[in-house]
This record gives sequence, structure tokens and C-alpha cells, in this order.
Amino acid sequence: MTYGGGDAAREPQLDSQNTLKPRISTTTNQFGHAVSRISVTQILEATGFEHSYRRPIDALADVLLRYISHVGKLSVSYANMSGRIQCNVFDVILALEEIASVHGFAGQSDPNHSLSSSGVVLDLWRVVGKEREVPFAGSIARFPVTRSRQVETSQDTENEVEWGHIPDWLPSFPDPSTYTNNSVSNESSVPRKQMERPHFSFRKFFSVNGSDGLAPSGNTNVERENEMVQRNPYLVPPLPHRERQVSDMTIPSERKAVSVFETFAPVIEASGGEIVEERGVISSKRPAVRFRIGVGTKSMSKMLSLRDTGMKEDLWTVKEEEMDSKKRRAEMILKESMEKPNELAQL
Amino acid sequence: MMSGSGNSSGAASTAGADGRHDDDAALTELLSSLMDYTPTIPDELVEHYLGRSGFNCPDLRLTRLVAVATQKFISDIASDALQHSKARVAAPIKDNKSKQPKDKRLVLTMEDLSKALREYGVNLKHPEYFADSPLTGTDPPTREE
Repeated sequence: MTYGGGDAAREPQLDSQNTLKPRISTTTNQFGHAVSRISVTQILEATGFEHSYRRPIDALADVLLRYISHVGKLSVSYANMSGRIQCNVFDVILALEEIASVHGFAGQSDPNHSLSSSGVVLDLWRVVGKEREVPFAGSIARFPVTRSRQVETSQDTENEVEWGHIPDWLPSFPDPSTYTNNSVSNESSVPRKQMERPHFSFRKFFSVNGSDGLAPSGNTNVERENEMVQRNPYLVPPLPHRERQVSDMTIPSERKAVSVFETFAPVIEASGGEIVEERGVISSKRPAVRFRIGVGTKSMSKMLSLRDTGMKEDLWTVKEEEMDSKKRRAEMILKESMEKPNELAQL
Repeated sequence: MMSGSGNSSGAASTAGADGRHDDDAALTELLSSLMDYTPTIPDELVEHYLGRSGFNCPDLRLTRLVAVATQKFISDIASDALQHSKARVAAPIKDNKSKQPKDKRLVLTMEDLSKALREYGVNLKHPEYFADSPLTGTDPPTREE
């Protein structure tokens, strides 16, 4: 059988290197597809075809694989309907009959026909008995090939008892002493790695000045444990019920309110702005924002009317302390608008 | 064999022991001869794809049965496509003055295959052309022969 490069009536598929490439399935089972392509080619040759193009063979190979999967799925469903998980020869025959029912087979109309002698079986018998046997070209190994997994053995599993009901791939049990209720004295039997206890006390953490409070001390394990029991406020036994002398609370003396000005003085000086302190409100001279206010707006019309009446100060002085800087800016805008009344029409 | 099976189907209605025996004879003979017959589709391939569908059976004869059924299915499609291709070759030429001889090669094309598959419930539609490549309409530089 010869392969054609492509159909005469259709353009062949070109990839980036301008070479013809066969259209293979993009799924992971490319090996199965390649093997089925060989089988399809052999069947076509046995049927009588001398030549073929590549795409029909790929299509038939795909049909072959789908057919096998379809038969398997139907057989399994028939087996499950009968309450079994392993398939029977009659499950397979029923599945084949269902597929062949589209085309029709001998004895299909009889609802009580025996499965052993159904038309499907007879057709297969004809294939096996009479047709020329065409074995598969070459031999293939059993696939998919799975790598033998190496079981990881660690030190923990050396002393482990082998349980029959627990599979090997589960992690090993922890050391029994970690979860059994024993006294604290048997510290030596407990490896330090498994038992993680907090290594710092809160008092120590807060009492250290200017150094990293979280640094662990250089004590040994035993001393550290005793320390923990004594110093750890959470492990201290609760106070008995009685009156206690409580230390007086030290109220911090009244100091000056933190001035924002003092905090940001270097920043302001660096920017080179004027500093005006008004009860903690920092204001520096910012470049004036030029507003183009329309003629129709209320504020402008009001401003103009106030200008005539001479009551403009009342509009702007709401709170003198807070609005001082804003007042200055607004006055600037007002001056400009008064000097150039013609520009008001422009927006 | 066919006549024998016809008699057995008639005898099956009487529910005689002989009838039952004949009914099973076809199947038992088929299963026994399967081990001697090597289907064109390898067993490993069929086992893999049956396993993917959930088919669980340790008996190799069932695997071979499915392989033979698949082989028969594909060969039926191929023979139908062959009929279509022969009909195309045997069609009278429109241009009587053509000096080119009729192409008597039997080539499997997508058209014949899609016609053959349609009867089996498989819709195979092949696009006419691919217009997304700039080389569409020109001869490709390489062609596999």
C-alpha cells in the first residue's frame, strides 16, 4: 500500500517548516493510534485497496479505537445491569447486537432469539472460519508500561510492625510515646524533633530592650523546660480567690500634643514651602489651581452679586481658623476673575 | 453451517435438549476456534482500550472476540468504501474526447469513506480546504510519495 501526500482536491496541511505532516491525534494515546493505523492498513489491503491517502486511514484508526471503547462500555453496562462487575460472553454479544441493530442482523426481529446463535455470532463465525487469516504485522508489548515504584524507606519505618490490613503506601505511624499518656520524666525517649514546644516566654520577650526578643536562650533542654513552667504566664497556676494588692496604675504625665508640624518640619523645609501653623493645621503655599468657573454656576453669580453688594466676606468666612488658607486661595481666584471678566464666558 | 443453524433456530422453539445444544454449538465452536485464529488487531491494543472503558475480564477469548468483531466492522466499512470507489471509476466519462485513460487504481478517499461510514452511523465530515495558511492555492514544496 502506498501513502498519498494529500487529497488531490484539497490542500494539504502545512506546518511552519512547510513540510507535510500527518494529522495524528493530539491525545496522549498516540501509541495506540499508531498501532491501530497499522491494523487498519492491513485490513484495507486484505479488502482490496491498493492505495490510500493518509487522512482516511487516520479516520478509520480513530473509528476502530472508538468502536473498541464503545463495545467495552456497552458490555460493562449490560454486566452491571445483571448485577455483575465482570463481563460475560453474553454481555459482549448483547453489546455487539446493539451496535449491529443499526445495520441489522439475522434474527433481530425475534425478541426471544437465543444469544448463542444470534446473527452476530454467526457473522463472526464466518469471519473466523472462512476468511483468510491476516495476523498483525509485528508484535507489540503490553502497554501502558508502568515503572516499578521504589518504596521509600526511612528510619522511622525500621522498627515498625507490619500490619496486614494497612497498605504499605500509607505513611508510618508516629512514635507511640508521643501520643500515649506518660510522665514528663521520660524526655530521653522522646526525640526532640517530634515534640515542638514554644521556646520563648512572653516576659522574656518584653523585658529585653533593644535586642531581638525572639532569639532563643542558650539554656539546655531541661533548664529551658523548667524556665518555661516558671516564667510562661500561660502555665502559671491560677490565682487563689482572695484580695490582692494590685500595683497602682501609672498614668503618663500630660505632655504636649504631638505637633504635626514638628514631625513634618524637615519635609516641609526640604520642599521649600512656606509654613503657616494654625492650631496643628499645616498649610504650605501651593501653586494656585486655576478654575474656570462657568457663568451660569450659582457660586459665580452669587459672587458677582455679592461683589456688587459688598458682602463677599460673609460667603467665604465660615470658620476663620480652618478656612484661612482656603480663603486666601479663593480670594486669589476672585481677583483674577474680576480682573478678567471677559474670560468668564470661556469654559 | 448456515443450514444447520437454521434448523437449530427452528428446533429452539420446541425447547428440546438437542435444540439447546445446537444453539450453543455455534458459540462454543466460535470460542474454541478463537484461540487458533489471530485477529489483525493485536490483543494488547484491544485489552488496553477495553480496560479504559471498564471492561474487566481475564478470559482472553472474550478479548479476541471483541478484536474479531472490530476487524469485521472495519472490513465491512472498507468493502463499502471499495464499492463506492469502484462505482466512481466505472462511471461514464463526461468528456469523450479525453485521451487520458481512466484511473483504475483503487484509492481510498475521504469522500468514499464518509459515504460508507454514514450508513454505520458515523458522521465524518472533511473540510474542503484550509484557508489559514498563506501557501493556500500553491503547490507545496515537498510531497511524500
